[in-house]
Amino acid sequence: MNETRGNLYLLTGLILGIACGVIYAWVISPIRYINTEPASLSSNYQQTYLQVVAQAYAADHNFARAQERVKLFDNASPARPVAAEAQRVFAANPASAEARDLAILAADLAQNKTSYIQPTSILPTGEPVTDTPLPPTPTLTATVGNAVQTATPTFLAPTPSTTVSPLPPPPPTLTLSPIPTFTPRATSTARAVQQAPFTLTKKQESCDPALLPGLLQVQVSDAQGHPLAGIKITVLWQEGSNIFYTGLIPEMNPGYADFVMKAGVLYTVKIGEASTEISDLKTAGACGWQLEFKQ
Amino acid sequence: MRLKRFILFFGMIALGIGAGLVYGWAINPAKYDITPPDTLRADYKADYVLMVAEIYHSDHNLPAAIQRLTFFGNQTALQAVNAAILTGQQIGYAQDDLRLMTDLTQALLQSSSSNGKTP
Repeated sequence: MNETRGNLYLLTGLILGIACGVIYAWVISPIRYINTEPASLSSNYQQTYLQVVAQAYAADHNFARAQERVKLFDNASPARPVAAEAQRVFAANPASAEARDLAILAADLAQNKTSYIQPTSILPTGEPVTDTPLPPTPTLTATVGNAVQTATPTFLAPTPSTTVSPLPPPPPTLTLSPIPTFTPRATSTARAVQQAPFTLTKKQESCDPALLPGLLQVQVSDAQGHPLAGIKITVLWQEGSNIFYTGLIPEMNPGYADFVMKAGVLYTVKIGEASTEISDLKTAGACGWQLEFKQ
Repeated sequence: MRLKRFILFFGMIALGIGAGLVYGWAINPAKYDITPPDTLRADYKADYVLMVAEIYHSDHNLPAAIQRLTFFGNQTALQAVNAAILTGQQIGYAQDDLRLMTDLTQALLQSSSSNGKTP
């Protein structure tokens, strides 16, 4: 009897110790990761990061660079995280520039080509072109107290671990060491602009039972028939309006967008900024509409 | 006998603490996806700042650039850009990219000198 009680004491002590150890390791002094990669960030920071990638792409039109940046989140299917973020931003604020930039990037990644018009000449000097290398796949390192753990010990990051905290601001004219490389940078901002008029080429009622009832499907393409992403679509009805963009569902195609109409409500659709409005779109419930526009 | 039980009890607690620490730090550490941006590797931080500089170069919207640079939390915008320039120089960023970040630094410095605050 006494022996049994003794064993229970030991078990109690062990469980108590494990509980204390786990609480300390998880709550009081959890592992703090350093030298992490963007994909390991909290989801809200990943969202911000992707938005900045899309905005930078809209600013510099450097598709290869944007592609490499997005591959940090999903190497196999880079369009997927961008499309998901585009849909999230679109749901929160359909008219935002961020939603449009994300939609364009998602569509371009899905097509694996840029929709921005590339300038014909960007290197007046004829120097060799070398893009700034993007960070390689990192080694994840974690610290516990003073100890450092390396999560993927297969290789070491080739970049220096720069300690850059309290730096004095540099002088306004920073002298840069000459580097014989040149980053191609687009100077033209031309793209399939919203101001260009679109012509309705197809308007057809669709009663496909596989589709959502009242689904308004819009397809926008350029003069050559290539799908156009990031084109603003305005839907108006008596009680309200909605703005969305093509390219938010890149798995369909970059020029596709849709909207669910309510039964018995009259809708008007406008593509871009200068196109004729398509009015009198109405659904009784089961059927929807297919609209195709060409620039 | 009583002392022996006492020592064994605390010995098991110590053993349990050790096992708990190994489990909590090595086997199943606290959630990985709560990582803040200030833990990013220096070259990723530099690339983020470069993106902000690219956007600024296009829209010249300094408040928006400063807002984007609050991403790192513990650094001012100026510190973040300076750190990125240093990293960029060390890992061989193209001169154009360094120039973009330098332009952003200058804009931040001008902004701070005009309103007397460090951006």
